[in-house]
Amino acid sequence: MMSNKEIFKKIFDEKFNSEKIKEEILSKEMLNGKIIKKKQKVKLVLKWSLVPICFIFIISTITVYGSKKTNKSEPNNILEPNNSTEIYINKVKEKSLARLDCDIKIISETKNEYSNSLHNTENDVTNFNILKDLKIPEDFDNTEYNLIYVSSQENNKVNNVEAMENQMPEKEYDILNNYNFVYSNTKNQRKINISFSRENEPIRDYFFTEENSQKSKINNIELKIYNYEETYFTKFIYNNYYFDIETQNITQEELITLLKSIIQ
Amino acid sequence: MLDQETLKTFEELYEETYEEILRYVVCKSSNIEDVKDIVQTVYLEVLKKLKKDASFKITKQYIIGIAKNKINSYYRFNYKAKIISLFSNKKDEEKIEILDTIPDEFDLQSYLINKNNIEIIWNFLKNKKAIIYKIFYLYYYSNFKIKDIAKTLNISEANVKNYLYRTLKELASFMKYGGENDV
Repeated sequence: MMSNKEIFKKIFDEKFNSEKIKEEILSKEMLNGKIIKKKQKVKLVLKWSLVPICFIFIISTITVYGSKKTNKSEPNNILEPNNSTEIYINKVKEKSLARLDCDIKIISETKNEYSNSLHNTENDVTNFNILKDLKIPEDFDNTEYNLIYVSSQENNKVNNVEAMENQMPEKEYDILNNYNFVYSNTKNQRKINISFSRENEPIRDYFFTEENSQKSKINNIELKIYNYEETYFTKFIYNNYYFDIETQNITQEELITLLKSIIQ
Repeated sequence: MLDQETLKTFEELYEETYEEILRYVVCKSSNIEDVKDIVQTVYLEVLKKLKKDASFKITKQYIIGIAKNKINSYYRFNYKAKIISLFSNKKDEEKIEILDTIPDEFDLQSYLINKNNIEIIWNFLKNKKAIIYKIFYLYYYSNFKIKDIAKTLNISEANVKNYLYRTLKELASFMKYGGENDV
């Protein structure tokens, strides 16, 4: 029989095995080298291709211009083109590794409970007329309403890892960052998570680059919509509110309907 | 490509510093599953530096500096946030109670665990608060004494003992039921 010490030593030895990790580092390094080499090769091919490409481009331009024809390219993901609404879905290939380390306490409230509780809460959520016409899929049967607080203390800021893991006292979380309404279908994991605030950008628990992404337009309000697997993300400013919306397992059409019900 | 001399220098540096860098990353990370990734990123940076300038003298302190930056950038978008219900005034029910009465030499051996259950124990541990895997790592792997763990993690000795004692007790009970109850 092994002692606890032997067991935990074995676990950590196996999970953080020095030799194994070193091999993985060197493999990654070799892979990086190959990728760089491949990129250099592509550059070389491109370099020698430039002359014929330029030549073809000049010939094509002369032909198109000469025949006075226009060639308007259509965006790949456009769903609904009209004057005030254009939709582009930017595909996110992989999520960033960044994670949110939250103390979370969520108690589900039904819509009726929410309405009944409105007058009892000191938080004046009745001002959220901005969500009064919200169109949520009909099969959704659960709603949760949350407040998200952050700390004003310097040592709680993003880079202080130590502060994140030590249990901070209740009073430390003193700034209401944003409101968070979660609508879901409890049976099939369909979910819409709406975070909003007049003062702050809602906190996200993920990160991905927005470089080269295309903007959508709903009722002339610009926003960027992203899709990763079964999840859609978008953030925008409307009526002086910062919005951040994340959905799971809902269709593009349901997403657009939702957005149009907010951005009117 | 990596030349033999750079590889040799890297391997020597790695051997010399790995344990300490690993401990640093374990103590500063927020999730035990991030540790391996962060350590790899740190040493990839060391390799990059060595490839760029083989004569550059890389010290343990320099690597700790890299580790600090890598951890910071890893959690750059990691805000400390607290989410509470609009309608709840309850305190955090999961807050661990402090038991100052645990003796210094409490009997850890009474919670013996089968060696075939490493994955189950790992999964149990990684689902616990960050502070718990740090304590377990320092106590069982780095052979730190309770008072040194308390100092390193900036918590009280009673708290360290309490976390150890209660987690082992919970783990023993968890294992008794085949590792199938909720963690």
